[in-house]
Amino acid sequence: MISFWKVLSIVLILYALIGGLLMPVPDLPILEQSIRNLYYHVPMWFSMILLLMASAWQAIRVLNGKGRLADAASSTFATVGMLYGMIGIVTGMLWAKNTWGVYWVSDPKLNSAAIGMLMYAAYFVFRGSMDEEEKRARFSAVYNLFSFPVFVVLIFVIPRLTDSLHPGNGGNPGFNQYDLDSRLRMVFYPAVIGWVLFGFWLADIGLRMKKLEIKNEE
Amino acid sequence: MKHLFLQKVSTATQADLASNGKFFVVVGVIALVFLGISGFLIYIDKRLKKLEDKA
Repeated sequence: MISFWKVLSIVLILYALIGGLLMPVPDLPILEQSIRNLYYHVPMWFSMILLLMASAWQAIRVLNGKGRLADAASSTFATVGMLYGMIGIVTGMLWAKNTWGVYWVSDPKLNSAAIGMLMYAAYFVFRGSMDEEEKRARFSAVYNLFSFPVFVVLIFVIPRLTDSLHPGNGGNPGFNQYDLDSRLRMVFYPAVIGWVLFGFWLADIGLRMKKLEIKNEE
Repeated sequence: MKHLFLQKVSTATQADLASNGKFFVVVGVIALVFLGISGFLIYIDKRLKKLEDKA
């Protein structure tokens, strides 16, 4: 049987996809109907950061001597996290083009996100460059544990210290102006929960495949 | 000028979208696409379970 939380993720995303298009939204200047992207673009980042957190947690387990399985879990979570991050960047660019007029501006939030993604890209290159498994697990766990806090600082702290076009920054914590609206909240929260669960489902499948591979090798 | 023009065009409101029932067809299609993909994911999950039980 399929676990309850997996079915729940489908139900919540389905609700968010449909509700996100049909439910009323506040009439905001410039954004207008594109505020609906809040239901699709933002959950990607929420999910990504939780997946990367899970990846870092598994990296700690690697360093505690939990071995191959923890290493497999750590890299799988990072992979799905990056998939979400990539979708987040691309959807953000499309939204930016239609809100700010360009796909990319040299904005602290955007540049930080790009740097963060590159840090994790380096994580995968780093992993790929090592053949010895024990070493790869430990070294990439250490690198992972450096990357994660830096990533958090990059996308949540630095953009708040300065001015940013992106909502929720420039000394303006949260995305209050949108979030306070109960109409948006009714779709936004289920969307976030749904996409987070869906991401963990993808990682679950990837990890179970890796476990089978490990079993087959032994 | 260009931007002024763009703003004029992009002011489709909720009422405009709903006034013509065909918008809901698109919503239905999006929902079906997602359901199809999720269905495939469930299928993969189940087959993986079988492999795990065998291993």
